[in-house]
Amino acid sequence: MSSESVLGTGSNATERGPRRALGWGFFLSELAVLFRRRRTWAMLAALAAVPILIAVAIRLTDGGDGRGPAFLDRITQNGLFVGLSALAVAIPLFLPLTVGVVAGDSVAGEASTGTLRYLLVSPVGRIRLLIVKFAAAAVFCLAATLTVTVAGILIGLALFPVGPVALISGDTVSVAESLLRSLLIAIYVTLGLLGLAAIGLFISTLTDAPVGAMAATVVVSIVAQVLGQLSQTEWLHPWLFSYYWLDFGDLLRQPIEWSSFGANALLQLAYVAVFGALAYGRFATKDVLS
Amino acid sequence: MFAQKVTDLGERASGGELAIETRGLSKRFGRSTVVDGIDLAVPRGAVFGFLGPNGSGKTTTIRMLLGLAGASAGDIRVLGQAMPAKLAGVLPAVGALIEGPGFYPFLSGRDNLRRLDAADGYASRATRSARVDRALERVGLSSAAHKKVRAYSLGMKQRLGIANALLTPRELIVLDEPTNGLDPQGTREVRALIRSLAAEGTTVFVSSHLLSEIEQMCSHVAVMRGGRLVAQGALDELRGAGRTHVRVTVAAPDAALAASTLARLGLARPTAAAAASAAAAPAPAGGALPPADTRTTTDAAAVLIDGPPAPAPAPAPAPVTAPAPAPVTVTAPAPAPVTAPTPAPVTAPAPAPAPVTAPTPAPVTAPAPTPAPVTAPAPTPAPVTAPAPAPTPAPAPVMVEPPSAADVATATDGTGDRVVEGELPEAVAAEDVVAALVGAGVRVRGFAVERASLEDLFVQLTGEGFDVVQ
Repeated sequence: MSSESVLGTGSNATERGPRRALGWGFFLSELAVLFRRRRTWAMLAALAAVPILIAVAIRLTDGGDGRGPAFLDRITQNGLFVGLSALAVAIPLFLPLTVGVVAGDSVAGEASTGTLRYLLVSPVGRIRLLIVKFAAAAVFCLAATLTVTVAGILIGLALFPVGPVALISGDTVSVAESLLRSLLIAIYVTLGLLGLAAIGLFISTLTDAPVGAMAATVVVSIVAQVLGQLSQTEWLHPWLFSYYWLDFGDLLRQPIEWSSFGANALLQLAYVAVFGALAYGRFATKDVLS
Repeated sequence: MFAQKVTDLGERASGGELAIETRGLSKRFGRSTVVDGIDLAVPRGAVFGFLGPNGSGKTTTIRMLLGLAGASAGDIRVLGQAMPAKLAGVLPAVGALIEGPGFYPFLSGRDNLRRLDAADGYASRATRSARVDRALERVGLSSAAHKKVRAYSLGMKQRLGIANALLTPRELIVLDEPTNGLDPQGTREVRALIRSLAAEGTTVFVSSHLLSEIEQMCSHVAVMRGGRLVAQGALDELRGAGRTHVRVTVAAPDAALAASTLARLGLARPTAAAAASAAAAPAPAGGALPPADTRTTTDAAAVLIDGPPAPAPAPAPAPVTAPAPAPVTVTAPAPAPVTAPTPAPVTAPAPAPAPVTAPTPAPVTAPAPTPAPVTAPAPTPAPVTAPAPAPTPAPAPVMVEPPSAADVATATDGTGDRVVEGELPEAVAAEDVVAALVGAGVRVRGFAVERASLEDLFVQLTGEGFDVVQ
């Protein structure tokens, strides 16, 4: 039968597009579903609380003894460092946690609400579904890091003096450029989270229980960081997706040290490719019985 | 007869007139076979009832039809296209409700539909709002469209699920248990909806475990049992499908003559199914069939219709029977000649001295472990009682019908009358049978025609009772 007769003619033509759309509609719908969940906003609010807590604590105690996460000691001189300091705090746990929730929920959550079967018979192709789910998770990664960065900058502006920023290399850049660099760092951190998002997507195709997939993804990120701390597994370190997570300081040099940015992007791309392929292999032929 | 009609359907299949066609479709999970080689043939434009008890493989079949689960063996064609190879081309023309509704609880009913519509790459975004609203209106959810699905009742979710199937004009709509959770009013509305869809030319494939539902709205029906398709065809064909059963009580010496006369007329050997319902007929309404009878019933039905023989037929209790190939059954002597040899086509014989079913002592029946009491055939006008089956007491293990439903030519017992049974072909009138018997010189003592109801048939086919009322 020709595709025309499947699509129908006459009155159907107005209700069905002449050909398949590219999928932006479904991607936008996916984003709408993601960002209309109260859970998503709760997680973003929790992330925004990180720089606020840091800034308020430092403001109240008037500095500290210089210990703590990166850039913490510079905050009293320049509020623009609140965002960077908060990122350094959020990267090991809070960001992987939220990414694990979104990525782990991506397929398993649809299965548990029973919407997966309806999406698939709509029909959404299985590959398309995986791509859209991953893209939505990536958008969430960006939203999460931007939330930390922007909330940090805003609270820094409110509580501390703001001026030209002294970089690690000793140079000083204007406020405008420092904001640009903050954006660059947010992108760097987002890139670093994509590997984890791909792992979460893969785990999510293994089960119909979203909570299990979320927990497993978070555990994977913790295990990777623990392995990254052990000197016995030093040979493994460059292969861990968390290896470049805290190296965003390289973007605060003049000129910018792009090597870690590139290496990070390459490593994450490899993770996305491997776990994307695994997710496809698992999901493409999976019996959807939920 | 019935098998013939199934074949006809299959032939039509090659003409591309089928909305759904499967060949040898099977699904195995590990060692268990959930769907076992079914050959579905759903004609276009039909309202096709897919009937079977819970766990008979209906939903798994539907999942395979829609490409959600892969088949272990067999071919599927939906709307003339191979599935799941042509899935992307076929599914936009298919609306489905699969094993209950599935929605995002944190979105409103309308937003849920918009979401699923956005997932359909062919659906036009320009007309989305209008189509969503129309679908909601069609299932009577317009006023609740803005509410979060979390606040919906089960029935409302079910309606929303049906609305999802109606978002775009479909050629085929698959509804898995569409009236689950609906109140009687909702059930009526869904039935009306399905009829209106059929009137528009949409093929509707509706699964249910409720016979009454299927009976009221379907033109065609398939019956699943234990993963197998045990019957399929137009509902009317199923209704009339050779279920007319003739029991003739004759003087003992004439039994052979009667049997050969019936055979000459083309009366097929009776199914034990019919015999079983005959046995049950005199029982008080609402009583249970003896388990062994049920067993027999299903075996025979399976033989008659489409399915393979059910496993392990109950062993015949005593070799009353001589397995001869004659196509007519002779059984159970009725010692007291009760009925007059009237040639009336349908007689209600004189009240039998022993009004209850076959051998009361009951050691005959090997009680199969049927958990639930099988519902007795409801008091339909059809089953007219057999003449006084008052059996010989204890030692002689006589029963109404040997469970194997084997061809029985003569019963060994020579006393009294004999009962000769047969299935009446559609072409032969009951009157002609009597006339032929009398013409052949058979002393006819009683004559009964039984027509099994649809309920009987389904109980026989599936081996368990359906809810016949809702």
